[in-house]
Amino acid sequence: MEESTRRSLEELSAEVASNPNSTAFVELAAAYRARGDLERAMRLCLRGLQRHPTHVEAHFELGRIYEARGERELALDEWGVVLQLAPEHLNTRLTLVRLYLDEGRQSDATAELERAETIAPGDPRLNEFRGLLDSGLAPPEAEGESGNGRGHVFESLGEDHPGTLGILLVDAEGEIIESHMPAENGDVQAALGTDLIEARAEAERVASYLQLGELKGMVVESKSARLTVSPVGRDVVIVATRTDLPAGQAALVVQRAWDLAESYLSNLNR
Amino acid sequence: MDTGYGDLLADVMKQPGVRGALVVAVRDGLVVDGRVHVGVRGDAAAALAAALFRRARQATSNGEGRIRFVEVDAEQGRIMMAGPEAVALLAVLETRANPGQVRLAVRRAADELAAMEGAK
Repeated sequence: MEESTRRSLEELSAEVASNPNSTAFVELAAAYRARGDLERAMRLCLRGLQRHPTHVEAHFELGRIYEARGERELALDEWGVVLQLAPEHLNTRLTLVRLYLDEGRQSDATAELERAETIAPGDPRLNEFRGLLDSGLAPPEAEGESGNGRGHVFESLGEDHPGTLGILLVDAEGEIIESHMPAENGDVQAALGTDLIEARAEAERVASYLQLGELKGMVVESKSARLTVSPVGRDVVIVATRTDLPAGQAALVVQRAWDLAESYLSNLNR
Repeated sequence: MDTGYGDLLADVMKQPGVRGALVVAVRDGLVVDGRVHVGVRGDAAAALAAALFRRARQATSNGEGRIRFVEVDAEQGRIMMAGPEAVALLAVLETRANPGQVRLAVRRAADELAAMEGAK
């Protein structure tokens, strides 16, 4: 497998080297991208586009390289060029659907998918995306007061219970799955999630040592905030409430957050 | 040796369902003083609980202020830990304990602990 990739690269490289006007640079750039050599892939694509400025596939490939480099805006620019040159470029339309789904922009994803469906109604990939959209598995809308591209799942809780400072759904590795924590930035949330996952592990150790059975939850309280950590399977939901919020209301927020998290995770795993 | 913590530990221990109450050095998890029922290994529980307390303190160090209380709720019981800086009070509860009452007792004891530490 490795050898065939290398041979293919050699062949493509030879062709591009022997014929500067060849459009094989697009395939070669894709091969470099697949190997993770993004710098070389980008240079090759940019150089090829100087000779072939209206090469649709080259612009599409350059967009993919930019995306792999984490340069989302540049990627969108390139795909915009593709759609100006070839409005019916299905791969670009589907790439945009995927991008919008990843970002939780469901209405944009739907609009783009509808355009793709008019271009190639029988394409099997359309069904996959349609299934994702219809089942609601896609992440929620990026826009919102959480300001970090998440927050839709728990948004109503914050509105219904003003004493709620924020809610995080964190996986077993401490990665944030969902959050609604308007007052905090992403780094603080990430640190909080990671530290509390580790605190949960410590809590499980204590409970196990003292033969207290399975962990049901944990509360960490400071002067201004109460953090309630509740396991949802292997993940945890962390609810931050003001300490002056009455205990009954705080318990209600925690229970509702747990229900929402459980339902959201069930949908994800379905 | 009288550590001076006897009364506050007794106040927590008299709550029904409390199996142990210990004053723990947060930094190293050593037991400063404690009362435990038979079967509760206070030294190990203190070490583990102190590690949890430190971790929880780290988790809140980014913005929630210094922690003053940690509670672990498990199927067969609970632990509660509260305290000022260097020392904290740890309570081990059975399921029959009334968590609200013990929570109050633990907080009260932690306040006394803070006052005693401040006076030193």
